[in-house]
Amino acid sequence: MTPLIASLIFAAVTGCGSDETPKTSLFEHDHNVAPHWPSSLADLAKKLRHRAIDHDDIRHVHGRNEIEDLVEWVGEIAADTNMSEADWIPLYEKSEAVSAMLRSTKGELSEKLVNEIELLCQLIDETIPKIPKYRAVGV
Amino acid sequence: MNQSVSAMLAGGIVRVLQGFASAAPTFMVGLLIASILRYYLGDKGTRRLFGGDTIRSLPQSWLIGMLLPVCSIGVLPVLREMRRAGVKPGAMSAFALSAPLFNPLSLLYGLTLSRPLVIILFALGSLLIVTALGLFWDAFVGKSESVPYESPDANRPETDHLIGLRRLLAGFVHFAREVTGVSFGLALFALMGLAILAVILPFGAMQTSVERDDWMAPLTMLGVAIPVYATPMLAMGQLGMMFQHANSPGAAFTLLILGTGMNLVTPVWFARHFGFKSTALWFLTLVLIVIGISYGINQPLVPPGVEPAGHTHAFDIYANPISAQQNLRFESLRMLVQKDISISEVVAVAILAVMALVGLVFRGLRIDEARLVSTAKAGSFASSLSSENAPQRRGLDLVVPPGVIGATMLAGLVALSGVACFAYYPSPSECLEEVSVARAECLTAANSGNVEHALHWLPIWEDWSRRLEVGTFIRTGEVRPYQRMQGYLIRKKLELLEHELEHDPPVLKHTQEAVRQILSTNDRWVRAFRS
Repeated sequence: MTPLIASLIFAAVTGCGSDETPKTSLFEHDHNVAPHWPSSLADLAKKLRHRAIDHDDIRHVHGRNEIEDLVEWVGEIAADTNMSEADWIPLYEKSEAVSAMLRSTKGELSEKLVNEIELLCQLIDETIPKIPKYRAVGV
Repeated sequence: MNQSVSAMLAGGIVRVLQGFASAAPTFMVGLLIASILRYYLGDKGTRRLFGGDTIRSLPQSWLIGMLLPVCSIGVLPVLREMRRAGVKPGAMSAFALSAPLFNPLSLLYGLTLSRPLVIILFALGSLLIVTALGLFWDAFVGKSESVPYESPDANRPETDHLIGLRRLLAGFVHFAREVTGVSFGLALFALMGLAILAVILPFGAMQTSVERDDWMAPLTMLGVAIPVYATPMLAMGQLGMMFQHANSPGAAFTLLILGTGMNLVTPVWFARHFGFKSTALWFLTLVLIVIGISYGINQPLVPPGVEPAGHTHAFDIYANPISAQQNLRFESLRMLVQKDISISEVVAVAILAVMALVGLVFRGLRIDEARLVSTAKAGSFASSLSSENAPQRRGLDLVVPPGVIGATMLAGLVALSGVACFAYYPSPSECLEEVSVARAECLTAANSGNVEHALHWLPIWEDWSRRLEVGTFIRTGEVRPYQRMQGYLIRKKLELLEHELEHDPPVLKHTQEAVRQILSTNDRWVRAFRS
C-alpha cells in the first residue's frame, strides 16, 4: 500500500501544482526557440564564425555550448532547404565529425578544432549556391 | 485541481476503457501463453523454460520476457502459472519486469525513433536491474521469511496428463474461464491506476512536469509511473517524443521500467503470494535502483543539439482526457474512447468478449479442468500410450512430447510477432499512400479552420511517418541519415501546426503559414523515401 500512497502524493502534487490559474487556452507554452537559432544556412555559418573564429574572447563555456549547438544544427538547417541529398551528405558528415570532436574535448577550442569549424563554414559557403530556388512539386 | 467531480469520474472511466482496449491484444496473448505453460510444458517444462535452479535463470527469464509479446497486464496470467509450476521468485520478478518492456514491434519502433544506442542501453539497463533484483531476492529476501518459499502445489503428485484433443479442449476451457476469472479481475484492478491518475491529474497536467533541466523530473515521473499502465508500443512512442522534446532522459527511464514494466497489481500480487515484507523490500530496492540510474543518466544521455521545447504532450494520455471546456455528454465521451482504438484492439476486444461469454457458459455448466479429467476415457491420457493395449504406431503417427508442442507454440508466438512487424509496418509505398490521405485531410481542414478535423488527422499522419521509417528499415536494412532527418523535420513541423491549431482561439493566418512550411518539408520528405 505504501507505494500507492507515495505515488498518489506525487501525482497530486504534480496535478494540483500545475493548475493555479484558470486556463484560457489549451496551449499556454510556446516552443522555446534558442536565441542563437539561425534563420538560414548562411546565417548559421556567420554565427559559427563569429563565435568560434572571429572572437577569441567569447570562446568561454557559454559560447562553447552555442558553438556545439550550431554545429549540431547544420544537418537540420541544410535539410530544411531544397538542397539535394547528394549535396547534403558531405555537409552532414562534416558536421557530425566536428560535433564528435567538440564532444570529446572540453574548455578552450584548440587550433585544430577552430580549423575544422572554419572548414565546415567553407563547405557551407560552397554548398549554398547549389541550392535550387524551387523544386518540382506534386508528390 | 479545478475539475468537477463528474469530469474526474467520467475521465477515469474513459481512461479505464481506453486502457482495456490497449491491453486486450497482449492480455489475450498472456492468457494463451498461460494455457500453453499449463497444458503443454507442464510444471517441469515451465521451470526449465525459465532456467530452473541454475544461475542463468535470471538472464534467461529476462530473454524470454523480451521475446514474448505481452504487456504488464498480459504478464499476470503467465505469472500465475509460473507460481503454480514452482518457478523461483527471482526469475518471476525478472520475467514480470522485462516482458512488458520490449517486444519485436516496439523494439523496432524504438530503434528508428530515438537514438538507437539509447534504446539498446535501456534494454541492457533493464537486464541489469532484473538480474540485481532477482539475485537480491533469492539471496536475501526469501531467506528472511519465517517459512521458506514453497509453491502451493509443490506437493502435487505427478499425475497422468491429458493428451490429444481433450488437452486442447482443456486449454480452451482454461482460457475462457480465466477471461471471466481471476486474471480478468487482476487486469481490471491494474487499470484502476489509470482511473486514479485521471482523477488526480487534470487535463494537460503533465505537459511541463518532466523537462530536461528539472531535477525533480525523475521523481515526478516515479509518482506517476507506479499506477500507470502503458503498452510497450505506447511507452516506446513516449520515449521517442521525450527525446525529441529534450525531456529528462532519467524520467524517460523511470517511465519505461516502472510505468511500462509494472502496474498497480504487480507489487500487490507479489505481496499476496510472497509476503508483504519481502515484496516491500524488493519494491524499495527496485525503486532505489531505478531512481539511481535515472539520475545517473539524466545528463550524459541528454540528446545533443535538441532544444528543450518547454512542454510535451507525451503524457496527456495519463491525465484526465476531459478539458474544462469539454461537455460530458455520452456521445462526446464515446468518441473520446473510440477515437484512438485501432483495428487490432477492436478484434482483440471482440475475441475476449466472445470468450467471456463462453467462459460464463462453462462456469454455469461447471465445466473445468477437473471435470474434463474425471470424464476422460483412458485413451485421453498419456499413460495410454505406453500401456500393453496401446496401438502400434506406424509411419508418421508419432507421439510428440508435450514439451516439444509447447515450445513450438511459444516459438510460433515469437515468430508471429516478427511476422506482425511486416504487417504493422508496411512497405514505404503503402505508407506513403496512407500519408497522402492523412495529409490531404489534415491540411485541408487546417487551411479552412476546421480545427477538430485537422487535429484528428495530424497524429495519424505522424504515426504513419514513423511507420514509414520502420517499414523502410525492416525491408532495406537501413534508414539513410537524410531520410531520418526529413522525418524529424516533418514531425517537428507537424508539432508546430498542432500548437497553432491548439491556440484558443486559433489564428488562421498563422495556421496557414504553418501549413505552407509543412508542404515544402513534405515534398522533400516524400521524395527521400521514394528515391
